[in-house]
Amino acid sequence: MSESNSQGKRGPIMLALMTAIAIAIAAWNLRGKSTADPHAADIGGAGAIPAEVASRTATQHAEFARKASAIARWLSQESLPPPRTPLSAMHDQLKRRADAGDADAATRLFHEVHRCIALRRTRDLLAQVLAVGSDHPDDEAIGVIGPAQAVQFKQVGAMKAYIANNDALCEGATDAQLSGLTPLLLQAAQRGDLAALDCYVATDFDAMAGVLDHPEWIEQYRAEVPGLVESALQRGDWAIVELLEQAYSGKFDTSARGQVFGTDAAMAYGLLRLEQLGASGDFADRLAPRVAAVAKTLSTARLAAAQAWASDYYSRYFHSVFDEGEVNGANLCQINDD
Amino acid sequence: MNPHNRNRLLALGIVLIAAAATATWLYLGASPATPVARSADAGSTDTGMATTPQRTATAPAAKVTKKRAGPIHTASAGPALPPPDAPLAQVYADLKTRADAGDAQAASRLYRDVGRCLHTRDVLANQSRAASWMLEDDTSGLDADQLARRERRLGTIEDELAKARANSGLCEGATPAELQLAPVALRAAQLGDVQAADCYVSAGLTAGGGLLDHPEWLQDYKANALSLANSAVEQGDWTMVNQLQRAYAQSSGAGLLAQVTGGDPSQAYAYLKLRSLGAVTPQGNSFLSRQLADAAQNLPADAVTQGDTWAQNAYQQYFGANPQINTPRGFNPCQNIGAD
Repeated sequence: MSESNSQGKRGPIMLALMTAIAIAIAAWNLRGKSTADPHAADIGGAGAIPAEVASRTATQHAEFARKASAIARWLSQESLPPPRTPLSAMHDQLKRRADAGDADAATRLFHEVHRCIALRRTRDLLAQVLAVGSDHPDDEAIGVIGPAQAVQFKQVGAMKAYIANNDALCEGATDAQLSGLTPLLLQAAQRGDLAALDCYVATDFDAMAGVLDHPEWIEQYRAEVPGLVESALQRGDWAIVELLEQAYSGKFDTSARGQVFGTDAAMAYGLLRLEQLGASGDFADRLAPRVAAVAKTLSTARLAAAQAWASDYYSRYFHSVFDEGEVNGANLCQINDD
Repeated sequence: MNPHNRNRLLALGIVLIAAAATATWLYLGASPATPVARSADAGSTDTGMATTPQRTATAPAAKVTKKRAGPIHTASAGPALPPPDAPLAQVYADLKTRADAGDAQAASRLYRDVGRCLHTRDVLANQSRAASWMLEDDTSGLDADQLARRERRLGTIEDELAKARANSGLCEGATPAELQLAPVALRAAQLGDVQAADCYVSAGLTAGGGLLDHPEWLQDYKANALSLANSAVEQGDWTMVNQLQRAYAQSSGAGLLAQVTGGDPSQAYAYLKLRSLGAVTPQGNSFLSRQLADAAQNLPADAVTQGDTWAQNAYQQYFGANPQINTPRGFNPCQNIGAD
């Protein structure tokens, strides 16, 4: 049998094999479906974590996508481009593979595009900072003016280093390749990229480049965010706890996520309580009065339900310490793509 | 000629004169609305900024003047406005009806009342929370300076809360739909309220919430933002000069306006030049001069010349009464709306 004939027969066999493995993974994943969020409905009734969140097995979706993607890649023997390949040289290939469901290609594409957008912004910012220090053309001079400018000096150094590290990787990247970050962000988030997920949930509508031409992104955000949030909670993601608390407490009620979830004191309490369970030392002490202040606004039944929810999620999903400096909503999209 | 015919001719004459005057005003008013042709036209040697014949029909800025001529100059003196202490819930429907019918004063009043209630709600929710947290904090480890700073901060919060509580009665009973800022900001801006235009163009769609349920606002924004921005510049508004410059430069955080304008280094340069003419301090002047020099390096010489000429013309024509930049650094046009 010739080699080409052999390859021609291998295609259907691989397809059948992939399908069988995918079905097996799906069946395995669906075993645990009933364990998701048993207390959600107890917290604030209809106003608590949306019903669709409880019914979605977002973690399992993401895990399934990751495994299926890995299997697909293994079968096709198609590896990702090597690190530090310029975006312009691999954009089309990654896009095609991401659109076909390859999770690793999706997340790689998002990070590479994000890197090049960050590079443009860094250049812009550096130019402004240097213009401010126009009386002191060398950045060392900025650093010795005073304590505030000393910070500025560090930023200048960091910005220059970022530009030097990433310049060649973004050489030749076109505007078209750098447009449409929001769909890439969502795609990577759906495929299980937690950094992309946090950034997507934290993004406000006016920060979505291209949204004026894509009003459907608004509805998509409404539809996708609850499931993504639940999947992040089930992966013990403190950033999403903080983002969700900001929404439910009303602190960010006009933000995109604030509009999706609305305000709910019981959920805000549950999330604060979850943070308190994960915090330690002084930070835990400082959280205590905040938790107590919200608790005072709740009925006994709602308070008990929220406490039970927090304890349940903490014991099942959160295995790391909640660090005060770990979560800063403003920096969530400053993903480190050095 | 009998008196009846004479009166008809007189009336006709007045109408024709008014029409001619309007046409002339529109024509003349059209000239400086946009600094330069978009970059695609940068190679043109025509520096006649007042007529800019090379402006393409598809350039966003070219849409400006036709829209501007309409509602923004139709400010009308309608019936008296409700008293200042009338609750929003009681006056909303009437003010909305009047604003929709073209009453500029009613539209501005509605914009400010809604903005004030949003601010009040924000202060009552967030500053109360901040104050309660501060009061619960353990202060035993603080030194004298830290305690003094803490006291000052608490004092500021207390003042803000007192003001918000005084205003809260004016906002009682207002529905979430009545607290949506985007539609009232747009209407007030269309009827000539420059501050409303500043807010609408900068963050009006997101500042008051509601976009999730009203994605059609994006289309409204796309259709109106640039014409409102250009009109505001023609009324000597430095805040909008800054917004347009950042939008054309595609600066970080330039918001939705940057999506409407797209990037255009020539126009960004022209607005930067205009800003430099209004610089107040030597430091500001130095900063803008450096930025201008950097921007000019990447442009053809004639684009720089066109930008300089347009900026000089615009400065003289629109900023005579307001020659220095009066927008504080980091100013948020959607904050403290309607604050006394």
